[in-house]
Amino acid sequence: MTTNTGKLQKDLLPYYFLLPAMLVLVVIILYPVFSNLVMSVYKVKLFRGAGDEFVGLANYAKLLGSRTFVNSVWSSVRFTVYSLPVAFVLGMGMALIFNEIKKYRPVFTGFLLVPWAIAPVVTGYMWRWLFHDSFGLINYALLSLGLIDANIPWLAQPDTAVGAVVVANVWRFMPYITIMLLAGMQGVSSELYEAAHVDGANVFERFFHVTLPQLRHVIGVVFLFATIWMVNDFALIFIMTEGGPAKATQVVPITVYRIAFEHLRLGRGAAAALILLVFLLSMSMVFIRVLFREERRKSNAG
Amino acid sequence: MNTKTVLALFIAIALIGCSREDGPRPGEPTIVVLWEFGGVPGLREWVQQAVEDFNAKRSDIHIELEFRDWATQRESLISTTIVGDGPDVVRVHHKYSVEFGELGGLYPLDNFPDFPAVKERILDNVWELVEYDDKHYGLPVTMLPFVLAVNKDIMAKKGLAVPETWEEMMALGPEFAGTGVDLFTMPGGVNLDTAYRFLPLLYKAGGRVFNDEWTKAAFNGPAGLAALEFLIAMKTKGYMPAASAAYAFDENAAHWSTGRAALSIEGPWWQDTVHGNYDFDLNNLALAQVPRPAEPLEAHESRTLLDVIMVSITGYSKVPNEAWEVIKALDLNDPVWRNPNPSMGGIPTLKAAYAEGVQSDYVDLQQLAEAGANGLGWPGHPAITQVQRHIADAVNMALTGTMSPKEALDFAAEEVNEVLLDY
Repeated sequence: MTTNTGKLQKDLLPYYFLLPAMLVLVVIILYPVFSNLVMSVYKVKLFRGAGDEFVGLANYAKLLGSRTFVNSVWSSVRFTVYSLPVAFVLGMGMALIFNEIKKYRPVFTGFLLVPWAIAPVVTGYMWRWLFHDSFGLINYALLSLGLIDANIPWLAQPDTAVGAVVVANVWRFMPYITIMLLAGMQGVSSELYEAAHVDGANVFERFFHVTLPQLRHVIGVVFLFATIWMVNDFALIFIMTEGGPAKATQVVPITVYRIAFEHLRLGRGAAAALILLVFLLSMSMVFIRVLFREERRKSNAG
Repeated sequence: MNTKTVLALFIAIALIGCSREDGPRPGEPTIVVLWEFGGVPGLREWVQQAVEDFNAKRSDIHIELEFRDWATQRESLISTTIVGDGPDVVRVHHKYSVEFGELGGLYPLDNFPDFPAVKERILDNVWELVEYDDKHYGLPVTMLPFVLAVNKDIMAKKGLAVPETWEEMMALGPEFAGTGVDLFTMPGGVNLDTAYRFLPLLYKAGGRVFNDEWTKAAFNGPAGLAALEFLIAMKTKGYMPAASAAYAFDENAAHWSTGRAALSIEGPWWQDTVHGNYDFDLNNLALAQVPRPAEPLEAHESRTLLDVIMVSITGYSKVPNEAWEVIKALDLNDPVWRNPNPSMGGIPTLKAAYAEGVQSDYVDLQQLAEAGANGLGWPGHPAITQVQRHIADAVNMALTGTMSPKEALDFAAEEVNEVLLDY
């Protein structure tokens, strides 16, 4: 009996240690999500004295039928799909270069981290003025090089505004991707490269057959995190364009902000936030399944 | 003493520490918390000094001054109104008198016995902007009528007169073609400044934001459509900057102040902004009335847009009488309000400021006063900020060519009508 009780206590011990963390998670994540879920089926009357009105799924129906919301989903997808591959390719290139640098690498990586370390609001203002039609350095440089003959109103045209926010986003995200990939590269065994070299593999073959496969998990995590962050991005775009022009850069978080805090439709805002959450969760699950497909297959085979 | 007793004592002490004091201790002054949302540096400097002077003079009331950002007014009022706690006095935009007056977030000044005497000292036409349900929720302190800011130098070099009508303004356009200088500029981005440049034109054309019963949007009527088509024509013909569809206030100010445009729809803040921030030579600044269409397009009187900055007592203040004392001392009796001063961001509402012989550094004060006297505010509807947002979006949509002016205004009107159903 005593032995059983002791074993039970021993089995439960890890859960005791987990309890504080679980409590924190319940308070700061589960409760707000649940509260948000409840709010999303009400028409919330913030001040008007009357109680909130239960509207069922009407907030969701309204959102899914709203041109603005559907456009903002498309804007979020476009922003992420345009930014991520570019940031990844550049980040990979930088990581490969940094991996070859043996001297002063910490100094260089420190400098590299600057764009990532700057607050998104500051980054937003910086790029907003860089892209300014009359005073921006970008138009000035292009004019000086003779590449354009008149100032381009970058942030006033839907297509160029999307391009501008993507450029700013790539600039901000590239250091993160570089650092993550660099850390992954340093974990790749040099013996693998030596073996490939002995087998006559050239630099490209070593990259595609050794580096990339070895970085698969790091790349997966980078893509997952970067996608979540980009889809959730608010500050950079809001400061640069406020979602304009013509809502071309109005991504879902800006729409949620507008609905909830400018139009004070908290119920509908909560529904929009939940749709975003479900979208991100589904995408993450698919991502993780794909990422660990190989491991699952191996373990099933084993 | 066991552990439980110590714990109970600790919690009791902590709770006492958290409790709010409802009044001053004997011999101590009553604290009045003032949240200053004033948007211009000159006003902030004045408030700082005025509060120090007040605190030095008065032993019964002590003002605790806190500067807040102009753009955070609504969020601050929302959060403090929900929790029923916050400052005693706020300097905010007049449009909040209705939204927060209705919700009990602001205190009706009519409750004070000397209010009629105070009311007498302020220009009559501004009171309606702070009124809701026959009660006044703020002391209107400064007026911000919208006028046409003119770069005299640009106009003089081309030998052009300041336009009075839309048609005259449009006719000036070809004079600017290919010169690198725009006839007109405006903030047309996705921000409320955009709605603030559309509305003066709408009002001038006899249009209004809502129908007379405030049950439906009316800004998409003939006057609104003509106003937006006028702006779009200016842009498509190249008379205003192509980038204006992304401009916020600062970009527009930079564009105009650096001699890149001749005209902009602005107000009393403009003089201080362009001179203070961009070193614009004030000899080249002139103000005129916002142009109107040659013929009125709707039945209403042609007016101009007017904003008012008010000082209000919060509905949850526990010291409204002391707060009223503070307001009168700072915003009614201080000599600064008797001389219109460009660094204060707006022109005073005090009648004494327009008496004969009053000195002022304002350029074309008469134009501002005239616009102020003919001014009409945004409708005092609790949802007005949402309405402004939809109008701004519509103007931006049309400026970028994403929608035609009619489509954009009708789309915005549809959204606004849905908002109005809630009230």
